[in-house]
Formats: sequence, structure tokens, C-alpha cells
Amino acid sequence: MLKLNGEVFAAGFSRFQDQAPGAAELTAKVYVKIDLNDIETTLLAQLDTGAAYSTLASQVAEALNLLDGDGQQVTLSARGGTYRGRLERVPITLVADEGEALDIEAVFFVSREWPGRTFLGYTGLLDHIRMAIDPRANLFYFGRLD
Amino acid sequence: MNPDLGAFNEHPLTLPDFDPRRTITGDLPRGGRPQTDALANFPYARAIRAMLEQGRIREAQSLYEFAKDRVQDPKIHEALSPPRVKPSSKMDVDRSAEFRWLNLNSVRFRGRWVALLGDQLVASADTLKELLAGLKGLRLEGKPLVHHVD
Repeated sequence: MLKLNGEVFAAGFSRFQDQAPGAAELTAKVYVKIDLNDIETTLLAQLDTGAAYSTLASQVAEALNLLDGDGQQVTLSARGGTYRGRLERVPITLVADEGEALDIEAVFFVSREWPGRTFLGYTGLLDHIRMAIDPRANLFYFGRLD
Repeated sequence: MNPDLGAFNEHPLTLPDFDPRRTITGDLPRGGRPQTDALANFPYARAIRAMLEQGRIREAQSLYEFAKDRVQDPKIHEALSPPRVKPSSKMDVDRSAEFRWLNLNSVRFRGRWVALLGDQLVASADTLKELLAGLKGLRLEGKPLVHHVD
């Protein structure tokens, strides 16, 4: 539990990875653990405060049967191109190593064309929770806004 | 199905938020259409849909915030309404062993999906779908960490 001025700021935390395990990428990122309830697995998702949307890797969206949904069609411009897809509400859990986890049903961009990873974006997801990073201990603190 | 944006692009919509004919007292000149009618009749859903289609996300969100009570399209509400957040008791286990395994063994699994439990590889496959199908037949003592090795 993380407190600020004596009040609870974030009720849970998990350890994050600052390199995608096994990847050749050189720059550090923040990869947090999420559970996708429908497929009973734990995966890593990259925090991306600059992303317009949260996104699901296309194979993850496929496994969740989201690629042929009827969500709002959108165009996503990202590094590497422009992608057509849909916005779908997806339940995920920010799992906690200690404290309180968070079930979040948020909008994700899903597309067969999307070549990227699973990202948790600021707008529509991270901007609705409290969060803090301890970069020395690689701890990701999170909690409800109210 | 792609919405037909032809009409929207030919006749761009502008919000009726300002009427330059308004007098200093705030009244519209005689014969002018009340601004409230113009606001009520504005095709918000169409405009928001077009903005999303064009990748103008921030504008779509702003317009939705302004007019959400006037938008009838459930898809737009689903897409732009805030996330639902609630506490959960789902705890994860220490995944240090899984990450150690990945750092030591990833080179051999480049481009593949792997499922790990502790320091054990329990399954690997070219696609996530295949991996999940393979996991269904296994009796595991916990939830595996699933990862695509880039």
C-alpha cells in the first residue's frame, strides 16, 4: 500500500519488467502484468502514456474473439502506419503482487492489421486510475481514483 | 461496413456554438433561429463517428463529452465512455523465475509464444491460439505467464 499525506494513494502493487523479456530492444519500458479473464492467462502489457488508445496484440484479440466484433470502426495512426480496426470493451485485471488488484473494463483498439504489442494507453484507461512507479525496486503501484 | 463519409466531407459540420449575429444583450436578432435548436439538431453521432474514422480522437472525445446526452448510438457510448474500475482480489505470484527463464532461453524461441510456470516451459507454439489450445489439455498448478518472444 502506498500512502500520500497519510491517505491511501494506491492499494496494490506489482513488480514490473523494464525490458521486454528476451527482446533485443535497448531502451527501457514499463511492462506490467495483466490477466485476461477470458483466456485464464497472465500476460505483459506495456504502459504507454502517449498512446491514443490501449491496444491488444492482434493474436490476443483473436484469442478473445474480438476481431469480428461490432465495435465502432476507427483509424489508428501510429509509428509505422495507419491501421483500421474497432474499439471494443475488454475486461482485464491489473494483478497485484500485494494489496488490492483492479478489474478494469476499458476500450481497446483491436485489428488484424495491428503489428504491435499490447499497450495500456493513458486516455481511457491509465487516466482513470492512480499509479506510481518506483524505478529502483521496479514496483508499479496502482489504485482506484476514489 | 465503412460508413459513407461522402456527405460529411462535402459539407463539413461546424458546431453552432457561436452566432455572430447575437446582440450585446445575448438575444438573437428577430427572425434568427434560436441557438438551442441548432445545438439540439446537430448530428453529433455522425460527426463523432467521422472524427473517429479519420483518427481525430481527441476531437471526438471532446465532442462526446459536450454532447453525450444527445448521442443515441450505443457504439459511440461504448467507445468513448470511461472505463469501469473496481477492486479485485486477484493476486499474482512472483514471476522472477519466469523472467529468468525468458532472459536465458528466448533466443531459441524468437517469434514464438511461450507459456511458463516458474522456471518450467509448459508449452510453446507459433500462434497464441495454438498455445492456448495446447494449455487446455494440461493440468497446471497455477496460471502460466504467456509471452510472445519478439
